[in-house]
Amino acid sequence: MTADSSERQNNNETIQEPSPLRETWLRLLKNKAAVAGLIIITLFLLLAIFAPLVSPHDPIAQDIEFRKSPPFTRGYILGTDELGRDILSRLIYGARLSMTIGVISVGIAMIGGVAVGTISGYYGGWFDKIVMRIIDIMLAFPYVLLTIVIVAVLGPNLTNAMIAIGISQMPRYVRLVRASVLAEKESDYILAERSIGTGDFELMFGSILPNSLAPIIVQSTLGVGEAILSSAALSFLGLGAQPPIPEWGLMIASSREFVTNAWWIVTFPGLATLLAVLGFNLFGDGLRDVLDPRLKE
Amino acid sequence: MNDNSNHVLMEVQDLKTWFTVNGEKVLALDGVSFQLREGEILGVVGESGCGKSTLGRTILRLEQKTGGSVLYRGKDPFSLAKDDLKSFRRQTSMVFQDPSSSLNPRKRVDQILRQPLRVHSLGEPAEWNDRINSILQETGIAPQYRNRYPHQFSGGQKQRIGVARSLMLDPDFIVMDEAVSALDVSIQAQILNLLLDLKDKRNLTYLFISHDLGVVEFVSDRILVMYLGRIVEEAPTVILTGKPSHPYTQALLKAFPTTDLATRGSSISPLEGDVPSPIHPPSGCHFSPRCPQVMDRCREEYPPLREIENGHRVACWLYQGKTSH
Amino acid sequence: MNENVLLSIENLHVSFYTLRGVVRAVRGLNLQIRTGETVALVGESGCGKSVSAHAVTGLLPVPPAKIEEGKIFFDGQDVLQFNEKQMRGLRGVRVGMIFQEPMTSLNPVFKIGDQIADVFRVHHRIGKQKAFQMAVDLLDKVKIPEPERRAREYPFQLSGGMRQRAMIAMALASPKPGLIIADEPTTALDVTIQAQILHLLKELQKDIGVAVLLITHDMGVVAQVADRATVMYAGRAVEQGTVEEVFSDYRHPYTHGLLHSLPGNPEYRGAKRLIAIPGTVPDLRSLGNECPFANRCSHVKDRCWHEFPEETTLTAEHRFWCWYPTNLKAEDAHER
Repeated sequence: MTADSSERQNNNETIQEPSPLRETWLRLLKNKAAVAGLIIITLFLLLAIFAPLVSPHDPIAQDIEFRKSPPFTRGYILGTDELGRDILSRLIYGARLSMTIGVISVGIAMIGGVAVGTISGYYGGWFDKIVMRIIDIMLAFPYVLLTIVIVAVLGPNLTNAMIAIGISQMPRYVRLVRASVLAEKESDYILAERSIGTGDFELMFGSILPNSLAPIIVQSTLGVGEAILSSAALSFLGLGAQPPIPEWGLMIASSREFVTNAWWIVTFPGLATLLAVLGFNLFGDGLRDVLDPRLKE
Repeated sequence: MNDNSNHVLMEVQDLKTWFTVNGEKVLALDGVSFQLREGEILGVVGESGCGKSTLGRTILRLEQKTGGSVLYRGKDPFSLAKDDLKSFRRQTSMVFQDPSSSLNPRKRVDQILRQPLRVHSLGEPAEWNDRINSILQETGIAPQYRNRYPHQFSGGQKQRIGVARSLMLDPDFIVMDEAVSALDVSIQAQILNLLLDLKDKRNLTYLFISHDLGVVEFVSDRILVMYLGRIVEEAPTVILTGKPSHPYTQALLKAFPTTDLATRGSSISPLEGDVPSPIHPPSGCHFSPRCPQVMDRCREEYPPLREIENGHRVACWLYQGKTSH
Repeated sequence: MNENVLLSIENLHVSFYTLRGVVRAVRGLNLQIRTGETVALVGESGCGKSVSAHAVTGLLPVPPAKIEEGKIFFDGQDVLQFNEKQMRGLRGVRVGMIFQEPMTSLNPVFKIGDQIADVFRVHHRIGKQKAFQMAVDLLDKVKIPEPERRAREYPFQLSGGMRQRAMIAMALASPKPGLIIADEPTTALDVTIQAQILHLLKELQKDIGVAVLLITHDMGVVAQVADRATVMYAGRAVEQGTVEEVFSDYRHPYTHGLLHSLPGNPEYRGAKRLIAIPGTVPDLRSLGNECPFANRCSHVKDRCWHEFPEETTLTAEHRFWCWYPTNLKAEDAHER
């Protein structure tokens, strides 16, 4: 709508307008997959935050008498594992871990990637050339292998796993950000802001970056799902969380030998991982559709 | 023109801006010299690739020059240090062609207009609101729409906001780079009138760049005609349109479709060929491959820009007078 | 009705059903084109000129577009009753199209010559070689230099002007072209190239006798090449007539305003300001039966806000829709 149609109102108050953020939100709510993803994510987040309140048992406490109880026995809704620990409680505490891992590793990847990518794209030159070659080398390694190498160097624990995942995911943010910065920095509004003498820092992070955010947000949402998966994989290999931490990947790893006689011990952590990753992917794909300027009207 | 019309505001000498695109040298601006006088509107007209936009950007130091010199009020903007450069930026500004792409889509109008004041810490922050309101009013936007985003305005209103931004620092000189070209004609007329009003009221100097001869002719005191990175003719508007001398200027005037039915059908008499690329400009006079009056000499040597009468300069071997004998 | 009428648009109404309301893009357009003439549909963006042309060729996106009312006859046949197969027999065979940006209508991965040859091969049972040779001849006819070489190039290797020539060649590749719809054919081109293309269109028209429906925002182009013109504003035709009538004996205040918005207007010699039309185009979704120009018109009176004006016919061609017209010639004045 143009401003004229309401010009007749003619009040002298400054009219508040909905921000693009709000419009994006409204469009997002129309996307069924995104809403489904958002609900799943919110559910896991709530479980993670209120883990001590909602979990029926202590996730580490062992009930030796009732090891490997099937679901719905003696108040163990999802049964117990090989050491008699309540699987549901472990899954709930595991959600806490997985969410934290996802968010922190993506945070590392995003902050590092955005900073490097923005500077690299904005200034170009030798800095850009060096950065891009390093990125090429990093991307030449298979993702999992790169993560494993980094953990192996840093030492196997949860913190280092997050750092490793963050570093392995960083190249794609660098590339993504650099590409949109390259496109945006040539636009007229940047030239206009330069023509009034705006400094490089403000141009980079105050003007160009906000206009390059859409693909980064989509990537980071998808990245959280992937990070959860990677951390599960690392823990499965013994390079991430160490027992008795209730991490989903670790739960699968330590119980895989019981898959034939106590299916629930392996299955539920697997399902939890699947559901969480699915949630982030659905939300990420939905976001991509909503933020894609070509799809706006 | 008014009394200070003889003060030279900007002096451009043999200015060159070359780019490298995919390893090839593009001579976007290849030796341009002219004077800009205080209080005048100097039109720059030419077709795509003639370097008119590059000219506007280079003299504002928004592109790096390859050679030659620019003097603004006697100082070279390319050699200015921090504070002096800031003051140059405050005195000059620019209005762009496409009002949709020249306004940051993520910023509210208020933020867009506040930025220049903030960057230059001009006056007291408490006064900025009043200043924004008064300039919005001056450019024809109701101040209560300050909190809208650019996409919530029509094309003409967006261009008014672009003009408002160019005025925020109270400049003396504005480069109008195709400032009305993207607008519908009825809106274009409104903006042209606005620009002319502002020029008179604030005693501004414009470099008015456009491909539209009708627009340039209407607003300009003097006109530069450019072809492939060089000025081919320069004259006061009346002389240029009444007595065009360069064959390219003549062709341009003839090709321009006017609504005057007396000239019906005549504007479609064609000039042969395409505009050559500024990567490999033709040897000799760049216009020679298309020129209806081409001579042998034109293919060998580029003609100098020569004054044939007061204030009327032409780069063409047809007008080299004594030297051609 | 004239026997030579090739295309006849009668009382065309087109709406777009969007999420934000119904956009009434064209309301009651009447237009006739006779064999061999150039008719211009002129107006600013959003006036409905392109939508009308798309309705003729069945290129409207349905939905959201919907032809609410009206008939379109081409050679006496009702185009709106055509099925998709019949429509294809019209499009590209009897009706050729040229657009503003030829890059979007030429296939970027095929050579120019092959694309034109394909058109020949759809219509004639001829071999590849023969068709390609015909394509080269046609490129020569639209004055592309070195047609042999250019036919073997891809669209991106041609300049804007040459691409537009190639588009024209494609429109002429069918065995019996009757009408070319040229939608802003020269808007993206430089003036000297624009002059070449307009000149070419004029020449071909003389040679082949095709009619041209020229859609443009540029009053200058209309004055230079069209025989008749229809001025549209916000979905309505507001004035229609021969070019002489519309440009020198206009009655509608919008036609007056449009002509006076052009700084190149000869009346402006020595003028300091333009006579601009104030305000902006109304929102097409909120328009009722008022005259759409009412909010910007200097002649506006009460009646304009309630009733769209009846048609006033001055000559065989000249008609306008305004309650309180501008009169250039005082003797024609008759107050309503």
